[in-house]
This record gives sequence, C-alpha cells and structure tokens, in this order.
Amino acid sequence: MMRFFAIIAAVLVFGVTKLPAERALFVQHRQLHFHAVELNLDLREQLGQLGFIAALSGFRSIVADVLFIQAHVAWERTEWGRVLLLFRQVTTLQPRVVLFWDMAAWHMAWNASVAAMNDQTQPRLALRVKAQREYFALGRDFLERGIQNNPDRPQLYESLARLYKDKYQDHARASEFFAKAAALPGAPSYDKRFSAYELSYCEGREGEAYERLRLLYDEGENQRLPTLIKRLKVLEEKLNIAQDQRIPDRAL
Amino acid sequence: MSAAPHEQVDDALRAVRSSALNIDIFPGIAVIYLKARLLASLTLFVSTFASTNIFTIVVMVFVYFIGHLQTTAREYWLQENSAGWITRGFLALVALIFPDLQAFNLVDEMVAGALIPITLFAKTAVLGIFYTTMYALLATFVFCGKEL
Repeated sequence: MMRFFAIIAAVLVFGVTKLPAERALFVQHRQLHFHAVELNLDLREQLGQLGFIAALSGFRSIVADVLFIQAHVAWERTEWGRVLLLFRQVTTLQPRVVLFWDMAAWHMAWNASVAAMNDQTQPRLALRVKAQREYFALGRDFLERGIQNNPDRPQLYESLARLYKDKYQDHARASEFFAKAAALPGAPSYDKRFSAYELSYCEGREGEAYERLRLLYDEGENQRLPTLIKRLKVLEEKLNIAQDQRIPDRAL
Repeated sequence: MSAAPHEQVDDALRAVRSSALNIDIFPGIAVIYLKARLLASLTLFVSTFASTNIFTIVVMVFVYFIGHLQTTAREYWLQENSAGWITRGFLALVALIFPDLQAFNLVDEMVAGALIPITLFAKTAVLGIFYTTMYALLATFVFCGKEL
C-alpha cells in the first residue's frame, strides 16, 4: 500500500515539476503562431466526429490535406457551396499554410464569381452581379483572415493586392498591399514595382507615383522594364515634366 | 527561364530549394522519435500494473487522446478562475498526470513551411527526454516491487 501511495505521490510531484516547462513551451508556440487552431463546437459540426477526433489527436495536417483534396474534387464538379465549406474547414485546421488561404480566395473571387456571372439559370443581371460581388467579398475575407494568421508572409498581401486590382479596380488599395508585401522578407522584387504601377493609376497621386517610379528607374538596368518605362512616360506627359528631366526616349 | 533576369532565376531556385528535402526536416523527425519514445516508456509504466495486454492498449489509446488535450486542460486550469472546484480539480489532475503531447506536434507547422527555432527544438527535446526518463524510472520502481 505504501508503494502505491509513493507512486501516486511521485506522479503528482513529476506533474508539478513538468508544469513550468510545458507552460514555457506553450508560450513560445503561441509567440510563433503555432497551434493557432481553435478546436471548438463549430469546427466539430463542420468536420464530423471522426475528422474532429483525428484533428484532436495530432493528425490535424493530414485531415486538412484530405479536406483540401475533397475541395478540389468539389471544384471540378463546380459545387461552389461545398468548395466554400471545405476551404473554411481546411483553413481553420491549417491556418499557417498560405497555399490554402490563397487557393480558397482564388476559387471564390475568380472561379465562383465568374460562374455566378455566367449562371444561365439566373435571368436577372442584377442578381448575377450581386452573387458575383458576394464571391469577391468571400475571397477578400479569406485573404484578410489569412493575413491575420500569417502576417509575416508576403504572398497573401500580394494576392489581396491582385484581388483589389483585378476585381475591385481599386488601385490605391492594390498599391498599398503590394507595398506591404514588398516590405516583408522573402518578397519578390516585382512587388515594389507593382506597387508603384498601381499608384500611377490613382487620380491625384500621380506625383507620388512618378517619384517612386523614377527612384526605381534610377536604381539601374534591372528595374528598367517595359511597363515601368511606359508608366513613367505617361506620367511625364500628365505632370508636364521638363524635357531635360525626362527619361530618354530610347529607353522605351 | 534561362533568359530570365538573374534576380528572377534566384527567386525560382530559392522556391525549388525550399520545397525540396532540406535540413529543417530533421528536427521534425527527431521530435516524432521523442514522442514515440515517450509513449513507449509510458506504455511500459502502464504495463507494470496492468494485468492484460488489452488493458494496456486501451489505456494508452485514451492517454494518447487526453495527452493531446492536456494543453487545453492546463491552460483552462491556470487561467480560468470562474470554474467550480470540482472542474478545477479535474483539470489539475489531467494537467499533472498526463504528458503534453501537443508540444511534440511540430510537424504540423513544419509542413506549413514554418522554421523551428533551435531553442524551441532543444526545449522540446529536453522535455521529451525528461518525460521518458521519469516514466521509465516509475516503471522500474513499480516493477521492482513485483513478486516474480
């Protein structure tokens, strides 16, 4: 009997000893945005019993991958509602995978929105446009939540910038998000150029855009790409830049 | 692609290299190994007082699931003050008895492209070795008292 109580006491003492180390690890995980998944009743309803148990028991990434494949199949069948549902589950389970957020947004804002606009079963244009805008908003929501979960990765800022550029024709916001992407480590070098290009389309901000494009131009041959030169030329005309300050015509 | 600017080629190469086998995967494999060792030593401990194999297996399946929820129980126990004493007592028991298996699930983050800092890996490894040693010692202690 004494041995039994000794073992119980040893287990509890061991538990108390390990607690600070476990807590310190947990805090570090949180700082690194690890295990940011909220396993709550909403997710339980979405995933089903087996999926939820699998997610609880350390197979979260595998469950997310299986659901991602299912979402791909649903996309092939153009079942947009199911695509949305599955991508919500996938991104909830693996919020640190940029690809999942990006794909979810792409399916909603590019594929589903076009399908809604070309929906032959809906004769009213106003309702088709409304459905299209709803899909744009869903795509934007995925990207915004993706950025909240991955503030240190440039890809989603870039995708959101493309969404504003292509779908909302909001060049100011597109420029802002390209600039945010460019400021992050690992961002492609074109993000900085794209930010300036988008700014050059904004009414009233041509001066600022010209300065940024000119700075890029002055950086050297690598930056002197056809679009950059073309936009600079357009702005030079628009802003009436003095002839001696303009870039040479041969650059075009 | 060969005609692309030097900078673009570098970007493409970086993307290919980061997607291929690299050294960052080894901490993930090591942590999986540590988790397996921890579960093996805990199974050994349970088997010292279990009378049948099936009891050991069933208990360990439950321990495995509870171990992944231990973090939730511990954080709720340490942070939530409004819960009743029965709830808090139960949560404390779960937090103290069961190992935190969630701490060893670094692979979920690694597949998402996250880099595991060396300090985090070292801390996880030390915790894993500590768990394994303690459960093995407890198993030895119980086993020594058995009449063979």
